[in-house]
Amino acid sequence: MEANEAKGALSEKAPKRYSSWQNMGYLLKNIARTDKWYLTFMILMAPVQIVVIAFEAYIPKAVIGGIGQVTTLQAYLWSIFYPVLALLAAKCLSVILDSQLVKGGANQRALYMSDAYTKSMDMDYQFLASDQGQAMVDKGLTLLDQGDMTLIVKFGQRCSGLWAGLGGIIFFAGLVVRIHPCLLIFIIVSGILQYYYGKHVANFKEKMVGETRGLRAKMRYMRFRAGNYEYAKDMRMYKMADWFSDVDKELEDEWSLYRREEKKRDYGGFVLTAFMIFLRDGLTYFYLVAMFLAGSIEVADFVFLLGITRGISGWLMDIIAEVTAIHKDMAPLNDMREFFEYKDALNRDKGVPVPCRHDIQFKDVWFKYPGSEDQAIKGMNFHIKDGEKLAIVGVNGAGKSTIVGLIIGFLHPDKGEILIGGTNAEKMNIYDRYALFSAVFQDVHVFPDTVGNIVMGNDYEALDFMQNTGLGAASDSRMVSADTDARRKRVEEALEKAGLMETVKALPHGIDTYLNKMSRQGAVDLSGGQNQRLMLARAIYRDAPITVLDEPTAALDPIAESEIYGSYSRMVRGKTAVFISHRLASTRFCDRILFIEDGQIAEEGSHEELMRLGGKYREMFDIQAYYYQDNLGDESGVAASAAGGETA
Amino acid sequence: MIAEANVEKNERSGVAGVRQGIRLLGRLDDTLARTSVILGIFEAAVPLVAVYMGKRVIETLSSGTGEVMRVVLWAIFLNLGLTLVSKWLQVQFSYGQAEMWRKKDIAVNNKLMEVDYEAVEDPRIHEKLAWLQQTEKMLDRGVPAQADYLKNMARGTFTLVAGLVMSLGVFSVPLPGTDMPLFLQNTLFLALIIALQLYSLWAGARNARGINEISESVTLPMNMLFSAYWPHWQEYSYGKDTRLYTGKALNNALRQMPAVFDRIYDAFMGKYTSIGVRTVANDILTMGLVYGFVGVKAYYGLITPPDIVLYAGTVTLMMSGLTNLAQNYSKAVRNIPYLTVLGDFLDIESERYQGTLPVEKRDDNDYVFEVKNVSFKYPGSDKYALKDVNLKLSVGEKLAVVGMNGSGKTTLIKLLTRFYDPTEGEITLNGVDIRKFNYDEYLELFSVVFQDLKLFSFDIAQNVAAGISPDEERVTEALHMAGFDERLAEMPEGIHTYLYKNFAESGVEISGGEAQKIAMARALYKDAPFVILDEPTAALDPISEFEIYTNFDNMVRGRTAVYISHRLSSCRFCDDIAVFDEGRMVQRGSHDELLRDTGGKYYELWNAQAQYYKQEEIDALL
Repeated sequence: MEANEAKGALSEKAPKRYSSWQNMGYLLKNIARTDKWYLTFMILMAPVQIVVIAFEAYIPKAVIGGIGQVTTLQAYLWSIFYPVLALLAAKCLSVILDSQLVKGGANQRALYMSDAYTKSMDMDYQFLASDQGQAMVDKGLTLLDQGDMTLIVKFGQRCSGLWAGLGGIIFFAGLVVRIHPCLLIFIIVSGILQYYYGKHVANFKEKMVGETRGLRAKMRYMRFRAGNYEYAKDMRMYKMADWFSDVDKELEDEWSLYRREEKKRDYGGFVLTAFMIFLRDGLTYFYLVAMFLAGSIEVADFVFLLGITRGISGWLMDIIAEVTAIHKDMAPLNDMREFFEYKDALNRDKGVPVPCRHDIQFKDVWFKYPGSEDQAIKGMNFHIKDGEKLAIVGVNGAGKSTIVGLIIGFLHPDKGEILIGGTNAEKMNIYDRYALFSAVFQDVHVFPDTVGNIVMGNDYEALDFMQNTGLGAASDSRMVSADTDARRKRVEEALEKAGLMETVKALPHGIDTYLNKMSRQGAVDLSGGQNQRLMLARAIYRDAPITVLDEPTAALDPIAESEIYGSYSRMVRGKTAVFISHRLASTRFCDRILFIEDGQIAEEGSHEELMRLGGKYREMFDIQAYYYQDNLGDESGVAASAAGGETA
Repeated sequence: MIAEANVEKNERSGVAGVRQGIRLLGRLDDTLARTSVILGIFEAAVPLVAVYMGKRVIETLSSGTGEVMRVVLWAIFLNLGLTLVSKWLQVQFSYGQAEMWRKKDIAVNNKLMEVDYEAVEDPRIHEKLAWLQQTEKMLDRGVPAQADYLKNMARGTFTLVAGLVMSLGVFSVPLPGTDMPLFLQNTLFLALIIALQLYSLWAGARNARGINEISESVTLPMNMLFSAYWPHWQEYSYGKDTRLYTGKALNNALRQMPAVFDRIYDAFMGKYTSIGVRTVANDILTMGLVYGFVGVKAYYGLITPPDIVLYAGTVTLMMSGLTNLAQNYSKAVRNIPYLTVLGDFLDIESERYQGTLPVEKRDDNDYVFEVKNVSFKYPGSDKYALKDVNLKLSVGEKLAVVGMNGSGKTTLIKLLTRFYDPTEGEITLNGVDIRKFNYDEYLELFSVVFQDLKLFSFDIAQNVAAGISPDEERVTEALHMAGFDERLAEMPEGIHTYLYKNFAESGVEISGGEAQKIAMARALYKDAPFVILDEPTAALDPISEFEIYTNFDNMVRGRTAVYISHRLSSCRFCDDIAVFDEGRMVQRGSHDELLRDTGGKYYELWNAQAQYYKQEEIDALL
């Protein structure tokens, strides 16, 4: 990695792509490391498969061949049943081994998923949120998200299928050659033909997938979003039913064109196979009949050899199928490895000591979002004193959330310095830095656990996750975090301060009620406003030295809104705090205000100072305040020019 | 997470249920249903013909090259022909199956659009649809699966019958060296094999029940839980929360995940393995018995070696046909609950909109709405959402409706637009009960911007026109009135710009405020005499909000307008304000009148917001 090392962006060098052998080796190494039994079963499978094949071929021969021999009925019957019993034992064993391979494969997938998600949660947020980062993660997780048919899960079974096929061929190829070498050659040639046709179809389908990506996304949209009940009111009000069915029809027509092309290719494959079988059977019969008429084989051998020839064909096709399936997953496997190998540049080591003072300083900070043309923050300078309450206001897109991202450490400055307590924030251990902040963001994400566990944030360790799923034994659960009296009390206090305690008391299990209705039986959903208070309670509990609030009161009515402002105000007593707002009412309890415009500080000062200044802040305030005045019609204070419209 | 027992359904059982399920399949895709049966028959025919021709070849072996090769040619051509037809059918079938999920979703979506609105908000319907979605994650459930079962049942039946007929030869020769009558011999043999099959089926069904139980009690909850966790692990938009609050819990959960999966597999594996072993044992033992039965008769010269090949094949096929039929029947039976719930949903009748009176079109927009003593309870609820509301709205009036969340404001709108009908009282338009009007025409009177407005991922013009052929001039004018000009100018493709990225890579993301403006334009484009705006400025910044307020008069010029908000600043430009509290209209009047009542709700709400903006305080500073 060369350029942009500080931000850990991907370098201009193309990422490393591994060969199929290397990838198979990678998977095998991980299996050997984590699950020796799985490896053992994989190896055992091969001889067992071969035994199965041998007996399956042999039995019909014994049945027919035994007729000609002069033996007792009993001996004849035993000559059939011995191989049958042997076959039974071998096949049962193979079934048992196969289910172990299934379990082992699923376990491997779980291990990879665990590692992948852990990594994704730990990665540099700035990179993760960028287009490049999202693309890398998306591609990297594709293989894992695809369910049970991928190479990771099926590795053992694919390998054993390969060995079985190879075993069958090696074992019996000699017999087929004895019939006629041309036969074996024909079988191999037809196998190769089918393999290449298969590749042609696979390439075609991949091309189709690329070409139809947009179309399929649209169809998915129509399927899942457009029919959603949330859209029902608008759809009825504006009579959108016809519109939608017109769009549906257009999409359907386009899609059926592609499908027809795919069907043709699929059918082509079947036709090819059928013809190959036709020719192979014809050839085989021809040679075998000749041998029979020449007296070199008996009826029993005729049947047997016919079976073997078909078998060889079948095993060859099996090998081809396994190889094709393995190949299909090579690209996504490479993507996954690239994802795992990605190293960002965040400081996860010891870092400089955590500061005791909590003032925040921006020194000539410049920032541009990766992939964007414009500077989001342009040479910004400010100093928030320890214990000061600062409001950041401005129109949407001015850069308010960006500043907060830079302060907390989700984003990193291109130029300039950010100091917390006099220490360069970029030199701190990233988790030490995060620990300095209690934040409430605009997006509400309700973690699927109990109210108490949610409020506890990082104090909740989910060590009883196994227990939670109903699967764990009692001995698996450690101390369930919300049981400590001290913590419960602290949770209740936080809920009280956030104004949510009444609501929680009314829930079926109080703070032990599970939230997120679809996650479990008995879980409930809170309303929008209640969820916002929950996020506030969580921040209160965390009690970090610096508070960051991205004002989310849009959904609240006036009484609730004013109550929340009260909660905010109490919450930040004695701490350094940053508020983002465009409802200027909330800035009243801040010491100082930064008015941001186009990535720069346009105005700075207390509310009184800015009002006296009579600039942009005053303008915005007046606009909001306009209708709350006692005497309307007094336009002098209103920058009507800003709005440019008529007034009532 | 929803338990099957909680979902109400009119379930039939057994054969009737399976038949009904097949009918649902036919309803959604008639061709697929028919293809399934025909394919099943062809799939059955191929091996039977192959076995027969195999025997013929061996039979004619001794008759000389010419004869043999003739039979060989027959054999391979027949096989080729049958295979070509059968594979063609298979391709049609597979693609039809794959399309079935989409067809089903579209059928459900269409139903949601035409059904009475109250069904759309009915939690019981939500639960049913959620249960359907949840069940679809299980293997062996759903409409495409039903096509498989139909195909396999057809195949099994045909194989069984044809196999039996073709095996008559071996059953009609009695075994020498015993006094047992032929009938008894055959019965004994068949009984033995069928007993094996039955045991296997019974054990299989028991295992399947066990697996089902584990699925319902273990995998399903696990899947639901993981689905809830999954975005926290994977989506970057959850990343801020993860890094500050939930990271430790999520990491620990992840560490335990492989062990959780292991436990699940352990629970299942025992059952799956025993099914596998039983099936294998059953197959091989059956094969052994069949070879024995046939072999003995061959040993005594009662049947020829070629016949061994034939009868071993046909008897085995016959038994496999029986098994196929029975297994797929029981799978189809397990599919019944899903298909019943789906079928019931698609059969819901729309009862509400029976009115036929045409709505008189008036150029002077002289529509007078009157709400007379209306009370309303949501279906399934005991609480009144609205109680004894009386309201009259005349042409050109601008009414503000205010109140706390849950006070009944939006409910009133839903009654005016007849999404619901009042429980008591009536609503009239120019004196006529609105239920009497043709609903389509009635809705033409309204342009509503709902609070939870939704725009679609098509281009702006289509969104504003809510149709596939927008009038571009009208669209541009509507956007202008909604204050969208500046943002529109930034868009390279103007009104043909796509919203969001679902449909077009070049689609733009828009903010909540911008979406509100477009929704407003949509309402204006419709040009209805009655405009209702529900919280239209909640997401807008002060400047945009001010624009909307000042343009409001312009926008609704001459029309009747209702403006719902809890931002009380909006009350200042309305003639009239109605205050709602807990379902009742508690105050009505102009702003000044209401403020005078210092004990009233309006005064309380007003002061809660205005306190920050008081001019006196501002004056004191200057």
